Amino acid sequence: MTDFRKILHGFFFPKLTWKFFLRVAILAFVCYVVFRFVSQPVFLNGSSMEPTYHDGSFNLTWAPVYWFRKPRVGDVVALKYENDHVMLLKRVVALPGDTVEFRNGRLYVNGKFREEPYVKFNRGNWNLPLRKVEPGDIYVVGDNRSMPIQNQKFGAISMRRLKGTLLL
Amino acid sequence: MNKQRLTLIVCSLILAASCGILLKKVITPEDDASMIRRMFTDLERVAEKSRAESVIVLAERVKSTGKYFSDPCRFDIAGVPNGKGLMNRQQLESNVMVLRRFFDSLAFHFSDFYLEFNPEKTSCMVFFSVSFHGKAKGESASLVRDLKAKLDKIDGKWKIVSIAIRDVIKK
Repeated sequence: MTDFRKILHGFFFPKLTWKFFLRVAILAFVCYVVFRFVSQPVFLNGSSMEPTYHDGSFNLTWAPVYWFRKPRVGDVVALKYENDHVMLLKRVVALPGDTVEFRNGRLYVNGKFREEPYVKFNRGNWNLPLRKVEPGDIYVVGDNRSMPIQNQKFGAISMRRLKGTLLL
Repeated sequence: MNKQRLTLIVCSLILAASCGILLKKVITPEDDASMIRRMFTDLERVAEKSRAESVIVLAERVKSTGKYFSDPCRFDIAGVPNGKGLMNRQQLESNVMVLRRFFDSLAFHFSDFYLEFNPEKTSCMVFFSVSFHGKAKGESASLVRDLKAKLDKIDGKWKIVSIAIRDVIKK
């Protein structure tokens, strides 16, 4: 048997020694920690972040970015929505203490018009009265403003729900 | 250092750490946050129904479920029959009975707890998620909701005084 075939045989039919089981246990533990706390695989469902992220695409969250700093305006964030399995993917547009308002589809933060180069589609006629972002919250909105305002989940959400940004 | 001695040292360290953790759990009195978490775990267990139950078991489970709530308790859970309003123990138990009779099996799982105590630690707002799985007449139903509950310490026990669905994201 050649070396390669030996390696291949050893890979698919390993000897069930305690060392093998230890390796499997360590690998399982590392995978659990990484995919649970560091980088969670996600399938995007919905068009609220079009055209930045497409409906049905695959991505990975990246939590370490917010271990050392708070979210900033413009960050795309994954937020825990229902349990650990359903997340919201949105863009941060305002931070605690800021005021937010939509007038004819244009975003105003602290009374000033905010340029949003990531909004590529036709802006709808969104209107939302002025509101203040509470301490501990961030204000998030999807990039797709062509959809009716009532069809998109957006608004103030607790920073405790932050699961990270996206890797890809 | 030979391999055997190293193994012995590692095993001893693991054993000592395990004993330490166990000892700490035994001698440290349970704090309020742990008591509340345990209360919800107990409620999960009591509310579960895995197979058809006799009238006696049903009555016992209904009574046990009621003990976790104050009398009366305020509910604000839209979309659930009789899920809104102030309910006394009798009304609560009768609703629990209807629910248990309707479902062949049901299970609740509470997670993602966030607790806010008042300074006197006599009252606590609990923010959490609940996932519900039930089967009735061969059909399955699943639901995940975020809830907030106000708990008061009554006679040394934490009881749910009000419970409501909370908006995760507010426009």
